[in-house]
Amino acid sequence: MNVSSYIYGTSFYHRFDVRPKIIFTLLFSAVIFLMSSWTGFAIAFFLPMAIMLLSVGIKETCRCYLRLLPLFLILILFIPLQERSGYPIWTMNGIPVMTEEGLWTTFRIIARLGGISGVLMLLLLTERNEDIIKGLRAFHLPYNAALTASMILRFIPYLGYLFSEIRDSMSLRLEEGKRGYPIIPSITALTVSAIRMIPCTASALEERGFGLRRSHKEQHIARPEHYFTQWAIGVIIPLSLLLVR
Amino acid sequence: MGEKNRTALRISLVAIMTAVVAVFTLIIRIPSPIGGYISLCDAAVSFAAYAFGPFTGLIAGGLGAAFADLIGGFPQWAVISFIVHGIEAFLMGLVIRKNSSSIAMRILAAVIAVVIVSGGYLLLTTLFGLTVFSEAILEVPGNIAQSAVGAVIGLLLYTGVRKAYRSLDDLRW
Repeated sequence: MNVSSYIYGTSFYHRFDVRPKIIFTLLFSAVIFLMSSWTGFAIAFFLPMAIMLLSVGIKETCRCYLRLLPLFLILILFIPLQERSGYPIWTMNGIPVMTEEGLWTTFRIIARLGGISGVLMLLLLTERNEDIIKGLRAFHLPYNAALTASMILRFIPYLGYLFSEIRDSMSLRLEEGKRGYPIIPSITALTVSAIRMIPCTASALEERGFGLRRSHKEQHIARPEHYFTQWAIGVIIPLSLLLVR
Repeated sequence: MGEKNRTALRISLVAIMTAVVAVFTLIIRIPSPIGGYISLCDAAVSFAAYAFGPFTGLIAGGLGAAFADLIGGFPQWAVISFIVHGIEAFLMGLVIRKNSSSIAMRILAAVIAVVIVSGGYLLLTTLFGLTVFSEAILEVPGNIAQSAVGAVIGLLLYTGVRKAYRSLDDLRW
């Protein structure tokens, strides 16, 4: 089980420091909710897509947006039929099938959903999980919370691997000719194995000096080249969207 | 056990239970026609609430579902999943804590899970402007089925795990 969406690259967005990248992601997601014009929503939808294309290539970009396609199709089919108030664009036997209002609502929701998904995926595709946690630590995420998040990211692939082992051994117990695996016994075995790890993990944390204070110098993350330019870009781009909102 | 050891134990418990919830969500995913998916998430969330109470349930249930969304390629739902599954586990844990062996309480906990998951997703996806009400309502039958089946599987899982691991209650806080 792969928990990281990170794609190796040397693009300008890959070279960005994680802190301005987190700010960019959060600000961009917040500003989308303040949009009220066609231009603003179009930029909100296509900007993350364009950065993603330049950073991770067409294949990964398509993979991200194809996941959203069924949802977009349903929205396109349903909303114009539901929202029939306003100026009619297309009528059938005098009944309005599509109105300007319906089209606007569809566009607004698709742009919002696509923009937020795009900018979040962009962060996950261009930054390693551990670096995102380090970045959050720089924004004063408590040590215990960061430790828990790191442990979660370590345990998910391990438990995924453990489940595949349990599932394979359970499927061997089935009668000849039968396929699949018993779900309830498999997930019970996985849960028991996971719970048995809890006291051992707690002891391991103690052994490694959990609770000892680290000096501020040790926690410091080095600032990369063009650090302040990156901050400016990370803040100015989302906020400049307000000019076209 | 000292307070420092207790904190280490709590962190380990929350991290591992969160990973369990995320793995349960990711191992079986039946795509729904409108872009979401049906999973075993609620079984793990219910188990966390039954076994470890409302607070572990709240953190592990909410975080596990959010991590699964982030990892599984649905990051736009992560915040909503965190709120919905966190509240679901918290309320289930509160109800079960009052009278853990009562069948009526277990049924009530399952009803709460169904109401919170189906109502929560319907309300929050519309409120966050990620969809419209008429489209969000299409997800409701799938969410009802997922949370109802999840609550039952969670209970079966709790019974099974408790038999296999006698000191399960010692980990509760």
